[in-house]
Amino acid sequence: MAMSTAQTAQPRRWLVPQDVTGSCGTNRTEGRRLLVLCAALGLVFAAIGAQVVRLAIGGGETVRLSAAQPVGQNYARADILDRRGNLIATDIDAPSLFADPALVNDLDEVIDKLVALFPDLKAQDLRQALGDRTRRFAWIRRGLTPIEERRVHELGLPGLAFRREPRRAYPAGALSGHFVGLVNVDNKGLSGIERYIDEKGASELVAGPVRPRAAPVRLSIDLGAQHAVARELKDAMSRYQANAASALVMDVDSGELLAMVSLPDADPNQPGLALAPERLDKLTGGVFELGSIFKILTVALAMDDLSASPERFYDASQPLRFGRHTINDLHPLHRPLTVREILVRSSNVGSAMIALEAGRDRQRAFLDRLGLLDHIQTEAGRIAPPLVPPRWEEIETATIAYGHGLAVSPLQFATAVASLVNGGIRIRPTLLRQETQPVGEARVVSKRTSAYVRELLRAVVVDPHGTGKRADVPGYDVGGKTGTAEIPTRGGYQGDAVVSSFLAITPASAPRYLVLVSLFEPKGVSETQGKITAGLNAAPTAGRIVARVAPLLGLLPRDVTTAPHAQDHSSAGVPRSSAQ
Amino acid sequence: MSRLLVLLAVFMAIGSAFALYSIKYDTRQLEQRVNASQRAAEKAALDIAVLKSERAYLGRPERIEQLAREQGLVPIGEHQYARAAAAPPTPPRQPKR
Repeated sequence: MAMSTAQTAQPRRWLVPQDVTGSCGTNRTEGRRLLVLCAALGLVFAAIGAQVVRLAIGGGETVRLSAAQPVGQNYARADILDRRGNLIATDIDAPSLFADPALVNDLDEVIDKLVALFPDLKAQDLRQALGDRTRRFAWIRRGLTPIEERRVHELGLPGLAFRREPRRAYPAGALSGHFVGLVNVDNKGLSGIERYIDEKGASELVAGPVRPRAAPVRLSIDLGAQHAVARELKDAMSRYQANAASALVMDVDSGELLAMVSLPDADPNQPGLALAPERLDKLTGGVFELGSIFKILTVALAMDDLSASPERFYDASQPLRFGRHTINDLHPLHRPLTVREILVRSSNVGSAMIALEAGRDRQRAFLDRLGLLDHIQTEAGRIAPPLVPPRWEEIETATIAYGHGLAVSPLQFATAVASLVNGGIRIRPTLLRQETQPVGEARVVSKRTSAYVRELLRAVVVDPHGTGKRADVPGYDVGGKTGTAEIPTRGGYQGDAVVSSFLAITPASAPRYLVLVSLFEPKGVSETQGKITAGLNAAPTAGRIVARVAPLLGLLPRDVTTAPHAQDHSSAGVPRSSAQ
Repeated sequence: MSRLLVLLAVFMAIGSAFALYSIKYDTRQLEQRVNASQRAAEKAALDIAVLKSERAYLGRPERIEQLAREQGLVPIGEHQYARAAAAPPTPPRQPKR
């Protein structure tokens, strides 16, 4: 500035104008310079003012510090509801105990008192976790109950503190079944529907107790039905002294699973116990040779692929011999049997004759069409894949016809039969409530075959010679098939260890629900005259389940319209069976 | 004239500064109130979740069945259904006294 003023002609006047307005009028260049300068200064002040206003309103960037950020993150998970909206799993806010080793005064005292409070904590682990004074954070126990929290608080030990975080709770307990799955210590899904929730993105990482934002997952399960099935199954297990038992209820049109019970059951609130091998989910986690209930498929094969009518005869008069092996009937009739009789009387020889007529390739293609050779899955994960025989020759064709040689999971089998009886449309099993009726996939059998199968299943229950008579429930038109399968062991089959099953559909003429009951290694008891056949244990269990569950699912008994005794009971005022 | 303008400008500057800061403090207080009610809402949501799970625990079918059986109730049987038409006619309503 000084340099430029020295070079100009009128240095002083430029800096100190005597009369601004006058100079503007007399000297235009000076006036313009002055204006430019004023404008520039004005701009600077305006900018400073604006900045001051901005800071005053918004404040500067605040620096946030959160010491707990890198540790103790947890998943907030969507709730799980049953089909009616009952709560199966939810997050609740629970305290977790941690220690700051740097603040612990007396290590021995802390360890002694904590171990006294939580006997399953190991003193050695605690010493290791708390001994390192450079660490500032060590979990001691996650997910305390309020009482435990109070007790720890009352110890008054320095260095111990709580963090609140979401923990999974299963109010229905063991009733929530195997399909719900498990979460880990960070509340992350490990298996079952819990894992599906993570895969679907219905969980999020959070620090601290936060409600999940994701909408709840609504299952196809009906908790009321689930309980009724579990109760009847427990009763059957003790009645027939079985080692284990399983049952499922499926909607044959939508594939929705309304109840899935496998005993011994598993309580997701106690994940340590739930993983024991004997608590394996029999319905999806294991494959079994299911025995005679496979004959449903064999007669369907006869009627669909061989265009047989239920009255076509097959020669079942002689046992079938394959080298060393002989296929026998339990109660041989020594005469040709119709397709209907083969199913009603559960003839092994007759079923084998049908399969041999169809041949291996057609049998295999038929089972494949029904999805029995596929790897299938539900939202709760993969279902144990079927155990297909490595060699599928004539003898395997014959034995598979009556349910030996091909091991499948009960759920996969139930799905196949549901597709057979629902009019012939293949369905998929699902654990999620379906709001709309799914558009049917491929047709697996003709409508005619499906109608025949339903008729024959009803015959098994109502025919005087039928094996399933004890499954009948007045008003519900139960149809079904028994199956008593010997359990293969290393040295062949043991006659006294069986899986005894009954597959039921109701009502048989236009099925809504399918029930599959399996009792594992039932014993002969006085009620069954010492026998272990399915007609005496699994069939009545299935009947009791249908009688109890069908009303819960809104299925009315057929005879309501004609019930002549309806009026007697309404006047009596007290239900008849309340005396029991 | 120009003095008056300067004086006016000074007063306006001071006045707007006061207005600005009082708005700022009001805003801060509002923010605190919003945060507090948000925390209260979160706490309430967590409490509701606990209560819901307790209600589900109390209403689990095992417990309800036990209670119902103690009252002499049993699962519904097929003979307990009737058509509405088959029911005896409703007695005429008693006139109110």
